[in-house]
Amino acid sequence: MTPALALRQVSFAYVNASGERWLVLEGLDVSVMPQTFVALVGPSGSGKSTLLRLMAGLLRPQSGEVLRFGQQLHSPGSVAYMPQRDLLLPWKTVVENAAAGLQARHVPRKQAEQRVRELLPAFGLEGFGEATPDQLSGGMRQRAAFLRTAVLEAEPLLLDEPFGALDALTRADLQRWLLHMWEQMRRTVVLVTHDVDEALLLADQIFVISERPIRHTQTFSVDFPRPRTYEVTLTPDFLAYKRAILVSLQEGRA
Amino acid sequence: MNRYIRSRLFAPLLILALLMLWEAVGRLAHLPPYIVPVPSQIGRALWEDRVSLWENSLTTLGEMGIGLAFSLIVGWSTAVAMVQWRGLAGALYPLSVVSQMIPTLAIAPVLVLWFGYGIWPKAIVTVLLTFFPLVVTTYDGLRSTDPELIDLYRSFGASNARIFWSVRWPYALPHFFSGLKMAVTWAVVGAAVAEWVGAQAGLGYYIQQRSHQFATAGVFAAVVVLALWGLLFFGFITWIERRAVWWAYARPVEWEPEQPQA
Repeated sequence: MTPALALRQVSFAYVNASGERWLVLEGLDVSVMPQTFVALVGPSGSGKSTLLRLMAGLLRPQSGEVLRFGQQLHSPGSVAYMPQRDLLLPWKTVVENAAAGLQARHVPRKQAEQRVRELLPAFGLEGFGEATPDQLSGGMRQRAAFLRTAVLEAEPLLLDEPFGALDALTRADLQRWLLHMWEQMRRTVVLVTHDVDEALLLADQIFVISERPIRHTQTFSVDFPRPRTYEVTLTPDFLAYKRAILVSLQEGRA
Repeated sequence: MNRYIRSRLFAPLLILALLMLWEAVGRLAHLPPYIVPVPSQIGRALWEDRVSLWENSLTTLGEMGIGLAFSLIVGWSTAVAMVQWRGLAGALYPLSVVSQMIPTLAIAPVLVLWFGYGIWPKAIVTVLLTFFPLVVTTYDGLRSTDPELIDLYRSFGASNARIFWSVRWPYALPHFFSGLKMAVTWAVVGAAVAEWVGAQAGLGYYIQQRSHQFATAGVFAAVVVLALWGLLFFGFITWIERRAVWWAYARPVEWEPEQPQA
């Protein structure tokens, strides 16, 4: 089966004005199979976001290739990408904000807004379509931002720490909501996170990043049955996985 | 009376008090009106010469309008071009700074020499004064866009033009309006100052005439008219700004502790 997204021998480095080179990825191979939920777990500053931006086509690798369903990814615009912050435009309503991506993909405005309106209830935003972002709570803003990306119906869906800026209770709410959403839509998702619990609750596969530069990832298959509930986080199996992943993260640092 | 109205009343009351003080000191000290006219004399000069002040205003406003319109169109385009092509910014940014460094009063006579006594030297002085604030604020505003937001729009596959009109320009608007508010006040003063050097009409010309006749109350009357025009334009731009970038002023509802029941 062709992976929904694959990195083949990808290397990537940043350079600064004084010529220093910061190697982030070196000869990395990664495959994400269609309809799987993959979590990329690693500490802050490990290059997770860089990896995700390469997958989104926002960065070009210096060597190697990024393949989307076997086709080389040359420019952004074919995958769906959601950055960490909601980045909603303060002068637009929720519907206008969420339709912006579709409009950029040349869907006429009325049609784009119609499709957004149909999805408002599923995203817990019913009755808030005409609200401006400053009238929403943090969790609602994040759901509106997620709607803006999800409505594109592009594969795969790349999420960069979507719950990172939220308080613990709101985050738990949104994790449960995303779990439910995903089990209904079954799209290919790559989620970047540093929260091991979040990764275990949501993902089918966890790629652990523990070294710098990133040469390979350690893969864990999470085989909790679906549909999952939050209860799974309280099982001994969950703790066993968590221990294994934490050990794997530690090994890279030693 | 609520706090809002009280804070609004403070400035007019202060001005009124200062005018009364001025009037009282002038009358008690018997200052000659051609040296220090008192507010009542300036008021009379304003009223008696209202037709001439209005007609001269139209000349000055015309010069200012041409200069400001040019600065707006060319300045805006320059700022946009500088953002789109980085190399251009390196060349044009210093040039617009230099335009602000030119001692306007010193070159005004030369401009009169080149372009005559008509409207053009004044319009050019207005351009020299207003180009810089407009270019710099617009350019800085356009550059201040969150790079992550631009990445998000790139991930949608948005064209450069769409990114500009959907994100960059709206986010630059508050900066642009700051520049415009500066420019519009400078423009009024600039046009009038340019008229001192050589003109046949205009508020600056009027000031010069009255000054030669030792009609100092008339000079002050023209200054008052200039200030009123400046205030009017400033207020007008602010009014537009509040409507165009309401989102930059939107503040969450403020909650105050309720007063205990008596």
